[in-house]
Amino acid sequence: MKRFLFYIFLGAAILQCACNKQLNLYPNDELSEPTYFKDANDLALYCNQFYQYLPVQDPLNSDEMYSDNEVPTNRSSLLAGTYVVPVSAGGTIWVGNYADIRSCNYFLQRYRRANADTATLNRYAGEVRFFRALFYWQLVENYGDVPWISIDLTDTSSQLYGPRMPHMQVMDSVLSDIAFACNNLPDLNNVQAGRLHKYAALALMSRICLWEGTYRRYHSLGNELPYLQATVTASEAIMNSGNYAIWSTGNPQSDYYNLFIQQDLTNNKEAILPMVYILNVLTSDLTRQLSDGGTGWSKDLARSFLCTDGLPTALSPLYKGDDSLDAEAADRDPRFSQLIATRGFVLKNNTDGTKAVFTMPQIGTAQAPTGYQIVKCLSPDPAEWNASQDDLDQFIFRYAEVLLNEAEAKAELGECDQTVLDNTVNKLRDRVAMPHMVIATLQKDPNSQFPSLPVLLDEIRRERRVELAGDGFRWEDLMRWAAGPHFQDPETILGMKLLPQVRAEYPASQVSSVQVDANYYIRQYTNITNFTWSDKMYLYPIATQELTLNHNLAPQNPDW
Amino acid sequence: MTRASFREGGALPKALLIMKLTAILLLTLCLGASARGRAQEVTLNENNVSLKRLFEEMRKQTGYFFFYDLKEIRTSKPVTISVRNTGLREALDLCFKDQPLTYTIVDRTVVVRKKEEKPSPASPGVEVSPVAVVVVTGTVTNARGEPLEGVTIYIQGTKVGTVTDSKGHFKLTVPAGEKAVLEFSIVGYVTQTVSTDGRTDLQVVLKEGASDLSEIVVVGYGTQRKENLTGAVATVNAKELDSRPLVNLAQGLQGLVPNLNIALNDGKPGTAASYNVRGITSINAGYNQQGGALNGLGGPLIMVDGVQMDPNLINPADVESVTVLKDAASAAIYGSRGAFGVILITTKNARKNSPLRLNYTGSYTETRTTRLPKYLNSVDYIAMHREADRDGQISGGTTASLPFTVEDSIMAANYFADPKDNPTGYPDPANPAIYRYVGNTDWIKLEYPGWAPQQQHNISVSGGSDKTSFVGSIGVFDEKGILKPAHSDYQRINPSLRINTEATSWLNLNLKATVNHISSNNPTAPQNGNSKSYIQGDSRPNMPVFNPGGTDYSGEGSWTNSLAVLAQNGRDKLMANDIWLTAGAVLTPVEHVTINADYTFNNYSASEQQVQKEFPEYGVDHVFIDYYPWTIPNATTEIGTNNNYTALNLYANYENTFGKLHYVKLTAGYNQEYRHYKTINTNAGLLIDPSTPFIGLNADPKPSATGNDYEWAMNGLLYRLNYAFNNKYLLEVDGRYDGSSSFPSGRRYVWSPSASAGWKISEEKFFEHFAGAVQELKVRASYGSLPNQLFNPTTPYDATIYPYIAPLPTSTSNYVFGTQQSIAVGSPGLVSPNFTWEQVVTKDAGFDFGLLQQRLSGTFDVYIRDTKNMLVGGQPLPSVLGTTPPLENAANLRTRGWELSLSWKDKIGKDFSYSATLGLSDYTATITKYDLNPTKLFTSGNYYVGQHFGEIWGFVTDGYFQSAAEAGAANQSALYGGTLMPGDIRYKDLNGDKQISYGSNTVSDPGDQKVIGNSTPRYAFGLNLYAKYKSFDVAIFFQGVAKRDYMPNDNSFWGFTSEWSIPFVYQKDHWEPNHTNAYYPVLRFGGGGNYLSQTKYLQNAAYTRLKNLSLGYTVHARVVNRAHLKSLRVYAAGQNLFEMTKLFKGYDPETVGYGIYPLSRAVSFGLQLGL
Repeated sequence: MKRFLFYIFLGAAILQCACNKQLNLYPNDELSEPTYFKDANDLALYCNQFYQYLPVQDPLNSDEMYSDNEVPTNRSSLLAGTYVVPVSAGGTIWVGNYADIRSCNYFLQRYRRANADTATLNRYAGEVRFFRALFYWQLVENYGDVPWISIDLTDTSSQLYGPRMPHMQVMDSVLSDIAFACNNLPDLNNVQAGRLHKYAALALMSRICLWEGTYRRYHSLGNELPYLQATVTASEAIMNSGNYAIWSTGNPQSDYYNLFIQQDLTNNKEAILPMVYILNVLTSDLTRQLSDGGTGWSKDLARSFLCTDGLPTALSPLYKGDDSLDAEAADRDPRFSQLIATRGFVLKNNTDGTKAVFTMPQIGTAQAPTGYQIVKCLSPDPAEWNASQDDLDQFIFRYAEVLLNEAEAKAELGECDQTVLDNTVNKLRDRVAMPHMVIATLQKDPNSQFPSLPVLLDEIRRERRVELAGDGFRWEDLMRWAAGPHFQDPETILGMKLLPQVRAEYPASQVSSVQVDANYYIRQYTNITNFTWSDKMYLYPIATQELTLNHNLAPQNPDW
Repeated sequence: MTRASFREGGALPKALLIMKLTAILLLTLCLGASARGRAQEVTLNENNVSLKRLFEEMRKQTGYFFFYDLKEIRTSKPVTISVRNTGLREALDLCFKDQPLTYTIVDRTVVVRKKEEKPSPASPGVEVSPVAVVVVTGTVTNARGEPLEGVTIYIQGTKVGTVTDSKGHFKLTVPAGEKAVLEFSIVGYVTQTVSTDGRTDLQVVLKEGASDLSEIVVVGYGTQRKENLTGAVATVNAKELDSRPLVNLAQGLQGLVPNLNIALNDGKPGTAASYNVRGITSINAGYNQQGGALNGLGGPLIMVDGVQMDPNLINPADVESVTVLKDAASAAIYGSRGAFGVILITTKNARKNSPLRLNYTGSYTETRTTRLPKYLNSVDYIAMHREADRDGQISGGTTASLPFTVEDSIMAANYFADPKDNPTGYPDPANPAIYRYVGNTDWIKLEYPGWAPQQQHNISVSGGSDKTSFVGSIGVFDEKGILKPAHSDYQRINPSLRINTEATSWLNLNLKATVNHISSNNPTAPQNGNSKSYIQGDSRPNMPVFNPGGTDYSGEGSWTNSLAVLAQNGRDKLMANDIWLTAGAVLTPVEHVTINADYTFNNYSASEQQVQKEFPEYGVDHVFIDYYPWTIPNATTEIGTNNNYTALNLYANYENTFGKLHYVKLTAGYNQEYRHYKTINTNAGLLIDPSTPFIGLNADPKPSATGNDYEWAMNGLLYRLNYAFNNKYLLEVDGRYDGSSSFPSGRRYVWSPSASAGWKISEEKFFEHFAGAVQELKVRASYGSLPNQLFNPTTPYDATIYPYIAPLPTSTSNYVFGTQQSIAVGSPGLVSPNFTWEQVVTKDAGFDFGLLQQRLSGTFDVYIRDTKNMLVGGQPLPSVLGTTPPLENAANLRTRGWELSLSWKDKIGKDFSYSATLGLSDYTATITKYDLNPTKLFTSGNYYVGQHFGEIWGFVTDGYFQSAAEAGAANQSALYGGTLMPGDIRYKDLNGDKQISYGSNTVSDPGDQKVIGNSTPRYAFGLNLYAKYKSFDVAIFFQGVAKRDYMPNDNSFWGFTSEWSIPFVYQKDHWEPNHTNAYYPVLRFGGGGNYLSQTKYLQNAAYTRLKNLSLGYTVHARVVNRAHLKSLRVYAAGQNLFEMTKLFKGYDPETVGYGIYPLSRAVSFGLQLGL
């Protein structure tokens, strides 16, 4: 008996030893760190994760929707004053971007292991630093001072509890990242379509540096010149490369509109980096969303278009007033009717061969709540209207922006002469057959949003607003110019004029709930006449939980 | 008596013959041994062996029985014999040479007796010795005089026995002249011993098993007498499950065992139930409303016949018994997977020496929904929508982006008043191609219109000779979903076969083969993820099913027409085969020792096809508007699963009693398991012909293929020692040394020791005084410390299978490189370098008692379970970390609870018997250590020291603001940034700071929040009532929870949780200037700070539900026999017939929540037939 048990245990013990090996199991279906980052291909695949975060330009971008360019049916809680300090940072850019920054840092700590030449290593480090610059800049835009983390932390890192780094210092690091990217990313002829190249990095540099330069100036942080200079350097590097041009087919009444409904932008000279959509590969839902967007352009934007004589509405004899949309659109900058639906515009080529032609804006509906229906990026091709089947390319970096950055930076530096304008603003005006901006003949618009701004800068900003309307820059432009109070202008939340005789042309039931102000402009928000601006809105508050977990983040952003 | 009268006749040999033939047909295994001839010739080649051993061998070769007295045979000398094909008699003569014994042969029985001193007139081997044996016949009945079939009768101390036939008759040859003691046993009755006292005709009445303390209970790697148990162990026998139609085992077990908490989750056909033992287990486990583990991490280990199997797939009709090992001491033999209890399911096994039986049970069931929210009509809906929109306008709150117009209201009212003459929609003035809908549809009513059928059939065949026995069964179950338009169908087919055969006297071989075949057919869920119930929060009442005057489904825009989706999208078809093969051997090499070895192979393979069909949406005059956005493009997904599992169990039992006082049982063994999962998931769009949705027929330029592939393994050494002194003092020590592939080398093995002790007070001398009233009294205590394995091997994913390895995730880029998307590799998460096993320490004390001649019996246990070093994740670290914080062994949890089981069984008169069984249990759980949240944040996902599990934080409701002035004076801006208005909720300022706020959401600064309730289900109970009068029986089963809170947060309760959410009739009772004492506040999209967790709306989720009511009629044996049947019972049963609860009317108290596939009320008719 005892012997028997002994044998059992002996047998079991032998099995046990044999079976320790049985327990050596590892994932068969996953990559893990010790074997990764071995060659250039690994580096490239790792970098791929960041591309989806490249900001794409479209009119439904929240930075555009919640700016003075558009009046969405649901206003932003920030401007409505209903935004409260969030308890948890979950879902905010604070969490999202720090997660991506960790991925960047994780790479930068390890990429040198790869078996590749220095240029290749630097190229992918350049890609990652490009993205890290983008992520940090977005954080600074939202929160001002933020912690600078440059390695991948663990749960025990003391840096978790570090203080916020001042805005300017963070941006200096951002500039260093972006400069590294500019220097190490390949030239155009050396890069697969879609991958980052030198000019994309320069375009980002131009954008970020203009933002930072003007932010420093208008928010009185000081030391803005290096950034304004860097804007010029980056912009001119792109302009002088000869790779890019303003796209035109010689049709000023349609070229601007057509630029944004193209199936393939990869060979378009205006596209420094396009967001490519290909049917059955990757598609967007933009056309469908735009067709029922729940937003519309504001009166404020509509007013800012010049007349065809190059004069603002307040000064031009050509302006016919805004008693009807037809009158308002007459003799205006051709971009007016290429951004806003006007009579005769073909909304959709129906599948049965007929065309849905625009006559009157569908006020009282989600299609055109303000009367100024957005048609930028809205293709008449019915195939694009199918849900998530939109294969029209969009812009990530558009050459026009670079030209506008250059003009503005030059003007801020006091170096903007007629040559600069001719190389920048006037190239954009040529496409739409608008008269050139001529410094000598500029007149200050009595209706200007920026009454005290020099007329040249004012007009450059107007040109930027019109050309880049719907591209997603407007909110951040107003923020960097410290122009928040402009949101108190009632026109930023008004729609088109709806005189009783115009209203009478609509079915009563459709427009019965449409309200207008004393001057018959459509009021989108019936309980307020204008937004109330508070300077605290320049920055978002940090979530309470983050402040609780790390006392060094204090103080909270001003007035939150 | 003549020789002829000894020839065995009647039912038994015929049955054996049929049995044998059937067995030969069915078997491929080890029949050689038993099929070897029954000649009267023997071949023996033995050296110095005992007579007993030789008898055994001869029995096997000839089929002759041997009668002998154990005491007498011990006086025999060892024999050396070598014969070949020799006559039995000749061989016997050789054996009995020089022995103090002699023999006679009666029929096919060899009767061994002491040699008489006086010289026998006859030489040994003389044909018949009428004095030597007698034949005893008799009848066995129950107390009501009904014959009992299948009663096993053994002559005590021998292997000789027989079984009663269908009339309860038996016939047995016993040695004459002495008192033979016969043992009568059958499941469900008290085993009885009867001394023949020279009688040859016995009438035996068996008592039904009033006391189950003498029952044999399946425990890990062996069995035990219930009276000797020292741990917290509960059992359920087939009898308790048999009387009603069970869809799955979980349904049958629910409420039967106190603190075995079973959540049915939802009523969709085929939905798996979740199991939990004794409440909250581990905070990394997740848990649902019923306390059941959500992801299975904290669930009990569920073993079916010794291997880990999904209880949701097995046929409930095959179940013989279910044992729940609740405390650590009982579960320790299962080591790391038994930390939160073990459920042992034993299926029906074959019995030797039993007649061939054919049984059929079947039932037909109609089901309908339990509780569902009541739909609002379109007129009220539009009015309320507009009202909420106006409130938003006035107060600067959320307004409608797609508001209703005056015309909508008018048209809807017209339709509502006169549906015949008014349209359900009219062209939208803004876009004449599409409709504005003004119909009136009760979506839920259309989805769940009425009854749906279920049926199940089980056939089993069983029988056994003295060597080989078998059970074969097949069960078929078919269920249609109560969501009628989905045409859901779920089918389960469970064939199984078990065979045992005694290959030699010391070797028993057994084989079990089971297939669980599942097939289901459901609508494919659209990409936006409709709930299983298709009760969407955005199906507007004003939307008709079809466009006005047409057959086009309505529904363009942002709302869901579930019926259109159900009718037009493709199907999701699943077929799964779960094949289990177990081969085992039981060796008895020497007396008192048995060795068990079994090896199981399991293959689970499934193939699932999900077809997605794009379908158009039409507007006015059938104009094409768009494709429904969530089912495009036409695509087929094929999911192939192939999982393999092997398990090896090797264990030995030694059982002996020394000196009459010391009973010892030792179990020791080895277990190893290995599982390999593989799934391949392929998807192709652009189907060439969507009506033939085979995946190969596609034109997709980039079909996708993904999958999973992983393995886990574990092995362990296990032991258990039982010691009983004088049948009074009981001690058990058990444990296991366990290894798991889920830990890095070096930290793989872990020890789980435990011990328990019991004292049978009722066996003590001093207790005799009370023996009249108290028959059984035992106190028990146990202690055990078990490690907790970190994953649930039945639903694994990498992070739980290899928790110490952080993989780099891969995905497809949402960006085009060149002309294609590319693979994107991400950064891995963080893994703590030094984490280790969780430790679960359970202390348990309890007692068992039986009073009043066992009419009243019960069990009571209290326990404390400490879950230590819990691996916790998601603890708050500053977000600049950039990833989820790693798991660490940083938390402790203490669960305290008790459970009581009380049972009363009695008879009144001869014909009426009844019983009542109450199970009652309770637990609470508290966090005792949690280093990671020193500030004691109580927001979702956080834990803190002192936190009571399930606690609900909220504000104290202080009525409504009744005027703008009141609203203006209040400061609730931390809750809602907009303007407050009359009808908004006023909260109580608990901290007196003149404003209502969340504070910092910490325990020390909760603002104006406090703990307002607790969602832990308390005092869960089950009450089983049973009565039988003559042929009628009735069973009633109530189940419920006596205390529990729930804070609702969905649109059926609140209404407009957003503009897109549909309110229900309940929200009509909302605040309006002329209705200021309404139940709900003023209407606002999103609630505007009103829909917070708060006292007024906290729900009392306690309930009592009539789970089962069944009425049965057993047709009298006489009638049945005339029809050549053996038994027949018919019954009708109702399930979930009604419930008592104060819970919000839109919820079912068992699932609690909105949009859950409803549970069903069922009415069944069934038949149990024995052939």
